[in-house]
Amino acid sequence: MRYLRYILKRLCVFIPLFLIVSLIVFFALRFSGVDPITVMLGERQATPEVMAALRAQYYLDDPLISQYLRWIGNAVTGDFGVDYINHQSVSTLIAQRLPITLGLVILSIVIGTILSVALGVLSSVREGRPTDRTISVAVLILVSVPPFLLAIITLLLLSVFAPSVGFIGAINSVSDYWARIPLPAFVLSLNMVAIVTRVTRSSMIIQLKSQYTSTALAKGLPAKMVIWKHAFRNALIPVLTIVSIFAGTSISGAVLVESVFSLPGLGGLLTQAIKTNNYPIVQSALLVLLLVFLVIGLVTDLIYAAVDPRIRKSGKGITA
Amino acid sequence: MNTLLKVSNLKVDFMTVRGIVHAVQGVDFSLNRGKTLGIVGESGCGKSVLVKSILRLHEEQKTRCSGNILFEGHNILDLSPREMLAIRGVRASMIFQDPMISLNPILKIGEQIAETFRARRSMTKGQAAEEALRLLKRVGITPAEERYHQYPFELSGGMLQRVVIAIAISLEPEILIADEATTALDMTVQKEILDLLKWLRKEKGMSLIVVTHDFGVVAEMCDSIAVMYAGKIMEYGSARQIFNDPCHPYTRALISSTPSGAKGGKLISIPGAPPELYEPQTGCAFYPRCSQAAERCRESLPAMHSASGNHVFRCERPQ
Ligand SMILES: Nc1ncnc2c1ncn2[C@@H]1O[C@H](COP(=O)(O)OP(=O)(O)O)[C@@H](O)[C@H]1O
Ligand SMILES: [Mg+2]
Repeated sequence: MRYLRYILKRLCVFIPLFLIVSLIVFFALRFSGVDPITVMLGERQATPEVMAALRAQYYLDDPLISQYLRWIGNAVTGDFGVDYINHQSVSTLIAQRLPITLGLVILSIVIGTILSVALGVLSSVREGRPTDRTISVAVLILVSVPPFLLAIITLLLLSVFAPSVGFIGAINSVSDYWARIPLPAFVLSLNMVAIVTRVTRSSMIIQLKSQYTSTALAKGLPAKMVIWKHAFRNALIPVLTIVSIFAGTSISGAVLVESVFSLPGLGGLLTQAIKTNNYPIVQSALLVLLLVFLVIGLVTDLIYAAVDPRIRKSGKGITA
Repeated sequence: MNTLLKVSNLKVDFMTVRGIVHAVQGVDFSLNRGKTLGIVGESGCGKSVLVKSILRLHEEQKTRCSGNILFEGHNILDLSPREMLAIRGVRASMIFQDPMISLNPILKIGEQIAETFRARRSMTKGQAAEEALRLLKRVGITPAEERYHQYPFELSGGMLQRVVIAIAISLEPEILIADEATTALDMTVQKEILDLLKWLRKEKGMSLIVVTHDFGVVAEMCDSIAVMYAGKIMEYGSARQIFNDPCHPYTRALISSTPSGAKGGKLISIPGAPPELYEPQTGCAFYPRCSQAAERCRESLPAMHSASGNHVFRCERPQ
């Protein structure tokens, strides 16, 4: 009951936040000084009448605020209009590519979280012993390698040891998808694993030394329960914070990984559109990526509140 | 005869970055069924370290324990983690000083009792909840049904300590260890908690180990008293022997520094502070603060002397 009320409260914050973000995206692009008509015409010449017709077709003579309202109003129904150059449906373009980017981001968060929680907890219960030291060293190496290098190294290793694995071409079926997404997602998660493992370890060590852990042991609970049900759930709060930060940055990481692994995701679409000043695509793709970002924040807050009753009671979130 | 717990020559060292802390330096005592032992001393004297080692709650990696802690002839220092489960909660259980941090902040208090029943008594969810509720009522929590579903941050310190006690007695331990269980509470609540402990002891036939720095508390409830200083027991005897005939200067100083113990209402605090426990001591640890100190107290460790019967003390110059 209290949790339901909390969800409602967070949603009330989420909606205005989304609108503010969309305003920023829209006006930032409009004030960048590029003339849409020039973009549409490209190298061609046109009479003033044709130009006026184009302006009317794209409502470019309306006041900016009504242009914004039209865009955002249609956007919430899933209609992003057509692009300036090929006059294709932006919604279709995004819908084709979103599953790849979203899949990369979500899978990398899931893989990264599971891996780093397992390693971090193991490290903490073996504090100071060989297992802990080995994990620390591995993590230190991992954290110092930049993500694009990790991606390229993986690709090189694969081409040497598993040349049969294909990494080019379109993704036409679900089996193509599952053959090509997991590895890049894993590579994308590695930097997160490095940091989150460390945070999990230190957070767990604090909780394992706390008084309530002693109470739980003293009352006769098995060590496994004390570690997972008591210490880990309390350790989760800082871990969630850092996971949510990485989840946000993994969106930009995904753009990079997509290009290294030749995946047709939103990243490619966005960079291409920016190069050609194709604003309908840029603003809508950005909006979708930022929405993913905001939803990650919202989900984090909801998990926080599910874990910690004190947050539910206060009604506040961590991320916004 | 009816000895539940026998501790002999127990030593506990901690490996720290600053060196080895000799927190407990060869302690002996035993506890009989239904009896209450008080362990008294200023803070930093090793009382908590001593009683925590009875349940092996120290970080094993950084701690070195030697000697014997015998439950029915088994030395718990030799038991495997699995065998320790048979000790914790069943043979002995423990209440800590600050109830605000003794409970898991994010679990409902009812669940913190019920989970033990499910894990250790193989009860179903419903049975465990019912049993937990009964226990909450037993330790005087009202309205228990409502409190069951609350979180620690929603309860007062006194209420929380009752919950902590309920948790500690849930598997009906033979020995309940209360480490400064009332120190963090205000006076009236302190008395309520002590009364609850006394009532439980009578009803359950439990043995108690009461750790405190307050002689007033031990005077009320203990059969025997161990006075601890710098990791050692300085004096041990029945409560009457310790109060009527304290032999060690430290015991006398402690008694006159507690409101209820000070004869003639005069409170005398002991100057100085207990020593740090990094180096092994060569002489009496209390020597620098002792009013009776002589040169030889600094040079050699005082031996245990017998006053009468079980009453012993570690001093070469008693009065
Ligand atoms: N885990 C530990 N690591 C190192 N030193 C410790 C540890 N626990 C306690 N000590 C030291 O042991 C001594 C005794 O502490 P303690 O038993 O808590 O005293 P008290 O009599 O107040 O309960 C203190 O000097 C304390 O600093
Ligand atoms: Mg203590």
